[in-house]
Amino acid sequence: MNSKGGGTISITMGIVLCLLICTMIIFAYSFFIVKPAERVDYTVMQNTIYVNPNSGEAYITFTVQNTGTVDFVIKAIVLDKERIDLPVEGMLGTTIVKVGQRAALRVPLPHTYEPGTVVNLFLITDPPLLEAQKFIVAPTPVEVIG
Amino acid sequence: MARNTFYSRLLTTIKEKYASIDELKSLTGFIGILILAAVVTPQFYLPQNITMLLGQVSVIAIAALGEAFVILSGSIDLSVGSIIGLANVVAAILIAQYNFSPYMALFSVMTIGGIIGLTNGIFVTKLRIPSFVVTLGTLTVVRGIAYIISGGLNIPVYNEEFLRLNEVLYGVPIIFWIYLIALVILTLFFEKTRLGLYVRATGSNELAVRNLGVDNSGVKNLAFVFSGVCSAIAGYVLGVRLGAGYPHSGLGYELDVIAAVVVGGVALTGGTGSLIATAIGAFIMTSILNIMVLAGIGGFMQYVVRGIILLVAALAMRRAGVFVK
Repeated sequence: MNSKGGGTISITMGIVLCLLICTMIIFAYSFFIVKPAERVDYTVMQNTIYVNPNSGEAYITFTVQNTGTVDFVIKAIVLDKERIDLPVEGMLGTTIVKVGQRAALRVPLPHTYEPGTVVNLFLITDPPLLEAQKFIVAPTPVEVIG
Repeated sequence: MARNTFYSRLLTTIKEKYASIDELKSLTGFIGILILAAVVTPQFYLPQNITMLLGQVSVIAIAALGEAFVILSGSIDLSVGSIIGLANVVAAILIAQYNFSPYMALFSVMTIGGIIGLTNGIFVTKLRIPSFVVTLGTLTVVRGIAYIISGGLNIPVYNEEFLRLNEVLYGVPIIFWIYLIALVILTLFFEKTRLGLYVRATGSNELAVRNLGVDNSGVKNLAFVFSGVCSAIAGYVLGVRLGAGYPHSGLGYELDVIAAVVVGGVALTGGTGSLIATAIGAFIMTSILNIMVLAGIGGFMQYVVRGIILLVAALAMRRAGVFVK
């Protein structure tokens, strides 16, 4: 216990050595054994449904920003309870969203919506969102073209 | 006449024995609390409540173990609450975002706690700054780091292995088993090793211990490291209970932890007390909180009652001559 004695190390040096070894074990573990978890996360922006009352044509436009740790593909969009699998004919934009990047989409809709209402938009992705994130929906206003 | 002398001697012997065993005083207080619970809120004794109480006490009691070491060595550690918060957040990030196994996450936060404790210790022993000021600074720095790395947001953990630690084993929460293991290891260290004796001796008379050739700076550093490690385990256990990392978790816990240590009979002046008594102190503080909740006493009143208990404990210590050095 006496730090002044020759050939012995003080308690503090012992603690420092012990903590250094622990830190090296943690770094080795994080570099060689584990890899970051794949987590899908995104933000939906500029989402609007446009309808043409004369022709009955309707489409949705939105931008998705990938805020997760892995690239994902938008497999389908869900508007309230209606599921539209992507890609569909006449769709503009890409369904592949890379980490940190944005993708803008314009998807024609099979039927029209009432202008002035709000429809909940939810994306089905591959890989999917975590179960606990599935309540996240983007309220989308319905507007008249022009 | 002879009989009277016998009884008075017996009474004196009992009084002396009672005064010499640290745990007995706090145990008497705890029994008093248990009697109070039976009178005020009989639902206190429901098995579900006891299980919940054991889970609740684990966080404070684990942190109190480390704090007891620091106080026994004659210093104080105010940074325990912030270390709890940081450990809680770091464990959640490592498990949820970096795929660490829950056990490796525990090892990691214990190391971080140890490093913070050592930093506290070095400031106190090498730079000769009072522990109160040093740990007050660390309290703020560590809390700030917890907010920075979490972005101020809560981090949910969905790892089943981690969440399973919140279950019950043989009628007792697993986190309480963790506490019992820590208590046994640290009590053995404290009571049976020379280093444990040095911790107490340093708190009792630092100069005398230094003159005996003991590395008392090292002993103090060790006490701070124990405190950091114990607080980190407490933060991890809190994460298990909450199922998430909250950057504001452990806020104000330093006062609860110090209160548990003082109510357990450890002298703030150092040198006197035991870890078992500290455990009883943690039980007293948590049980009182539990009784007040069950009795429907509001949160504001709870602060007043807890403060009064601390003052009563201080008065009892004064009567026992603990503050006289």
